[in-house]
Amino acid sequence: MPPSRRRPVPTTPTVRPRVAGLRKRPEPGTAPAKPEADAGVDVEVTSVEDTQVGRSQAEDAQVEDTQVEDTRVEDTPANGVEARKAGSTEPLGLIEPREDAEDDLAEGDVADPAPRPRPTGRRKRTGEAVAPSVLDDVPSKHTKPGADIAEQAAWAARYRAADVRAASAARNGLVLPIALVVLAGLLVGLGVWFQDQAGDVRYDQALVDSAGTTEVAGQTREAVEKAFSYNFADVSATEKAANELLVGKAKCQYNAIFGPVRTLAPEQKLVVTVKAVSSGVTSLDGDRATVLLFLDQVTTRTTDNQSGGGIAMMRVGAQKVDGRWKVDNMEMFGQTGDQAAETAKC
Amino acid sequence: MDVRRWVLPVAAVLAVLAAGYAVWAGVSWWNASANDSVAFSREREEVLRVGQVGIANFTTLDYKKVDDDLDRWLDSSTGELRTEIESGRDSRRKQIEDARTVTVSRVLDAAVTELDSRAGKAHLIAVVETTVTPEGGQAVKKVNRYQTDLTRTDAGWKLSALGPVAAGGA
Repeated sequence: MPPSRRRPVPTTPTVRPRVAGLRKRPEPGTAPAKPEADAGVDVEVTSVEDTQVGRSQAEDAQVEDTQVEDTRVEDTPANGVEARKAGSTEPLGLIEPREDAEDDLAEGDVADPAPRPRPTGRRKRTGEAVAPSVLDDVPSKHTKPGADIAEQAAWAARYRAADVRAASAARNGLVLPIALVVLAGLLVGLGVWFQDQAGDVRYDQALVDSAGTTEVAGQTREAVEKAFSYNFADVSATEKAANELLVGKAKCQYNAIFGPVRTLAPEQKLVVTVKAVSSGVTSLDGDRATVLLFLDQVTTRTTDNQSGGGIAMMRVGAQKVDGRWKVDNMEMFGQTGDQAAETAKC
Repeated sequence: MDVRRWVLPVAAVLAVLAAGYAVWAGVSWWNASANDSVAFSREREEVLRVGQVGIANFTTLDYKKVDDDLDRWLDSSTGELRTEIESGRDSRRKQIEDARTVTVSRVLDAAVTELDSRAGKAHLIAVVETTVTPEGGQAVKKVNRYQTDLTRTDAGWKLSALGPVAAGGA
């Protein structure tokens, strides 16, 4: 308490502004954050003034106001800047808004006979969030706020010219990016075309993939031979093969082709042997293939040991299912009318 | 105004990315089209085409223009097959003219079963539908199976052997 008593109302003007700022809002934030002994002292003073000096609140306020006026008068722009600088190093952020307001007021009162809105507006805009490149153009006009109307008009014109210049500069600055974007677009188009071409280069793996070609030829051969070979004594072998190795449409086609044989076989005790004498893979693409088979068929009627033979040509569609090639389509060449009609239903 | 600050880098990055993509796509195209498999596949297709045309030529003849047909046979054959045709030309012409038939064939399906592109040898099987029309008679259709050997010559692939695949084996 002693220091507060030693420092009554009269204070040096340089310190005062800070007091005034603090005084406006004493409680909220100032009390906790005060590294400076001086500031702390000041606060003490004000509180003492309020309670102990015994003046009426109104009088107090008046005195405060006048003091503030005084300090403001002395508070030339330069001074203000200094104060602000000092303030910025201090943690007393609350002071700044007030000083800013004072600044604006002072500027408005003192040195702006010309209509204010435009310069201040510009100032605000340029001063706060403008890219440095633009600021380059600005300072020259920025020093003119105190000029008369004619000069201001000239300045405005100049500003507009500068604006246009800036716009054209911006346009110039955009030429390269636009060119690059266009180039990028062209390159992407070229790339798409290349990829399209690369996609078109897809080729048939038949014979190219010799292992795959051998595999598909061998397995479709086997499937057809087993499904179409028949021994009246072991019907299940044929049925098993047909069930396992034929899928989809091929089952129906198989029934159409082999049905007549199956009805005749038990009573005539037929033994039918089908052998693929030649096979060629016409296409092979991943798990799809087509195979051309030349088949020889030998039919023996065991009731009277009569044998007959025939030839057939079959185009087989094969699909790889679970690692094995299965027949899913069969087309016979040179079919008789009935057979062709039956298979056509599938 | 901020736009100018980021537009150029962004455009540059876009251009670089696009260039990278284009290069990658070009290289993949080049790889795809320039590899041996593609060349082999093309050769297979060429053999298939020549084989089909050749077989159709050899199974098509008109007694009214035998010489044209025989010239065509010679043109699409080489080696043994060609010498056989040359030597037996006269008797063959007589045979055809006496038969007085017009035979037209088309290949229903064919497959290259072997191809040795280095040796220039290939084997092909084909299903051929032949329509034989005797003079003033009814056309008869038949489906047959053929096999042929092909040999690469300076003038492209030619048939060097041709025959039906009879029952009982190739």
